[in-house]
Amino acid sequence: MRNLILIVLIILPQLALGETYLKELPALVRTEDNKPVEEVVTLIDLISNDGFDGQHFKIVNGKGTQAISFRDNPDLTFRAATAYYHLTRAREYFLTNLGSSYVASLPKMIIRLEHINKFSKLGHFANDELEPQYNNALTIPAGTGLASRGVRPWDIEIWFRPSKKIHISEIKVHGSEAAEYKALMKSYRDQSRVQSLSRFLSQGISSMIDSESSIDPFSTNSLIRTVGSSVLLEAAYHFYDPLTKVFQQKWYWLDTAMVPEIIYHEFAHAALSDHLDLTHSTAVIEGMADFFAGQIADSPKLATHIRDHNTYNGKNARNKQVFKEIFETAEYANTDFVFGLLWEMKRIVGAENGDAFMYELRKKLTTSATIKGQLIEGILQTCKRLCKDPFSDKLKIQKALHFKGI
Amino acid sequence: MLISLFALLFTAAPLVAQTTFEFGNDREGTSVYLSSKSRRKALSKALKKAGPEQIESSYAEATKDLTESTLCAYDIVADLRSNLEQRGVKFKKLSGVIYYLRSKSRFDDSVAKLYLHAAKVNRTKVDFSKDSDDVSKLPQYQELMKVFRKLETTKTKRCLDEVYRGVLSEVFKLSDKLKPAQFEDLLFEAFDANHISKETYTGLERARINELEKKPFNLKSYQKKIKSLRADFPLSSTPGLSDFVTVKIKDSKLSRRQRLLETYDGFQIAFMADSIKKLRKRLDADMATLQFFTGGVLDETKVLEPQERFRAAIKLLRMDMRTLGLNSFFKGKAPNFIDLMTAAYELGVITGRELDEIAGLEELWNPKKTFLQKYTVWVRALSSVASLAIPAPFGFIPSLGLMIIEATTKPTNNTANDLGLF
Repeated sequence: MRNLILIVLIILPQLALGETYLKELPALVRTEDNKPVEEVVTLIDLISNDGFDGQHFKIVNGKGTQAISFRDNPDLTFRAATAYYHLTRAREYFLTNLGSSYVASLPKMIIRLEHINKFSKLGHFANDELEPQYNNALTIPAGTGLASRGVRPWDIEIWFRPSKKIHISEIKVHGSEAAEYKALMKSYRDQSRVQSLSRFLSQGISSMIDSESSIDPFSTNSLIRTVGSSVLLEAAYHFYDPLTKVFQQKWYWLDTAMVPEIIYHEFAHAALSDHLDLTHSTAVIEGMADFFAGQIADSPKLATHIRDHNTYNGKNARNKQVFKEIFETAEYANTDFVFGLLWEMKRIVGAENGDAFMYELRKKLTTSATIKGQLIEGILQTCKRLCKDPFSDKLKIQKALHFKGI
Repeated sequence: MLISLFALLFTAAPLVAQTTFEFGNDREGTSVYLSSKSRRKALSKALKKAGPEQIESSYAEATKDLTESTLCAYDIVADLRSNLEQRGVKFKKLSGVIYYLRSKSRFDDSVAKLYLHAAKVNRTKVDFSKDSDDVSKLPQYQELMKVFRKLETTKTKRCLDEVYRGVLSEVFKLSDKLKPAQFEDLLFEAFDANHISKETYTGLERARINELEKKPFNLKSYQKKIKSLRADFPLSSTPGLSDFVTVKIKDSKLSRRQRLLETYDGFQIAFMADSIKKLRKRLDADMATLQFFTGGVLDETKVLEPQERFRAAIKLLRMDMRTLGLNSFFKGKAPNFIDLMTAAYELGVITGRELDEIAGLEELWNPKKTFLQKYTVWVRALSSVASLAIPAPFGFIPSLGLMIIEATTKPTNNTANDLGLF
């Protein structure tokens, strides 16, 4: 019955919309070994033979309403072709692999490239005067519009911001590992200071009360040892930051419309929006979108090795991270902890069932789901329904979660 | 009248015929005995010599007329040997034959152990010309000899270990200060003075040499235990064969299931299995809460998060485990987690597939140590020595190195967050 509805939902719009076109254009794709290359791809389901207007996606420039033309500037068409191609791929994944009737029923999506306006729930686009947005992408929920101000209703849209070089000093970075290392160095330095002082004092006292003592803390040898080791340690401690700054990358930019996994991630948000509202960005929601982006890309790494368009390090599901309470906060919503966790869960429930499992999992989640609470409860309940051997698999899951610090 | 007599005869016939015993293996996977290469070699050697059919038929014949009262590993093994000899195959050692029969699941490792031991006892050489001390001056000498004489007049056939334990018990009841060496002399004296036959002496002397008094577990007690376990805890489904229970226990000659059956009685096994049954239920629970009352009024209910629930279930199991050790039913035996698991599997509380997963939970409270964790003490000690040998001002380098190693290698033990209740 579900398949029948799906067929109807796919075929009916095609019949209604009539003729479709194919177009071959260069776009950025990944090779089998995950390298980005420029390649001529075939765009399908186009309803215009002049621009990026398809049955399911319409690619526009900024706030515009007209589809970007194939004759527009090559840089923009390259960007539009890349976005259109990967969005089509993502849609097909949800229809074919997961039989998603929700995705099949989604209205045509407007995809905005080079769009700098902030999102406004009431007015669709925030005022142009408000801080322009760069280096990110977002999927916005459908809105009812505001007739009194001439704002028309809109459906789910995906917005890709233009990339812009920003100096690293302007960005607030959470370098937790660097902070840990710094704290470790500090504690070792403090400990060494106390040790050196106590050794110096005890040797001093013993040399004063025992004139025949072989230890002289004021001898050149002792002074070199005490001062030398302290100087080396102080140097290591104080020069850590400047050295890091010298070798660290100074500029940051991210051309989201040119990174296939970001395109998949944004479409995944739309595909999961039947249960996960598009109003929030939480670790769980971002992690779920990351998981499906990884599934579509067939890689545990997202947005990596694409230096021309991205200085961002990307995400890696195989990162060995231990859970920290701070990961539940919105500030850390985009770390790869949940992505890694879900990727590991896939390994436990079996790679062949992984995507169906996670797609089912969305039903147990809400926009406010926490990692430790609803996400884990949802995983366990989904396992009860879908795992081959629910009791054993649940134990495997809980053991793995325990060692992840949850 | 005739019809009813016939009817009575037919209904009574199976009772008269007695049950034949088959110690079929319904629990154990690969035998603990077949994990070593030399034993597998002994098996193939035995097969080459006798062939599967001869071994199988000899064993079937040796076990065909057994009743509950005549179950005896020593007799079965002796019959097996003689049946093989009748078929023209002579073995010095029967171990290869026993390994073969075990590999075919004719019995489990516990029975195999009893057979192997019986074969060893039956092969023990006995000295018939001992230079023994004079025991005739022992107090109650006559009564002691009477104990031995009684053996020859007893008609009931009993198993060697039972006869030996009976003699020992009676002898030490009469003379509780008797030394082991004096018992040996006493036994030889009974043979030398023709109070017991050569055959009886041989059996008792073999039992003495092999210290059968220290081995209370025999085929009869095994059969009784299994029978009562299966009757009291009928299995709803076949739990399957598991390699988990045949793993050899570290620093012991026993497998996990052998230890269970030899160490614990039916009651104790049931108690242990019950704690795993409770663990299973707790792990499967959808919700767990902590409730706080004041004056009988509920003040607060705290719902545990899924992972807190998981760890709470494990903590409760550990608590149950310690409580079992203090239970008077356990007579001072402190069961460990593996014992509990093996007991639960024995009674079908968990399946073979679930065994490994539940057993793996032990890692949560008893994590495996990494190479570095194990040897850090040594590394520290060596670093201290090295720091003395290294000239100033570089003496701190080894300890700095150690600090870097410790900082870069993360521990694998329990890393659960500190904000969790459990």
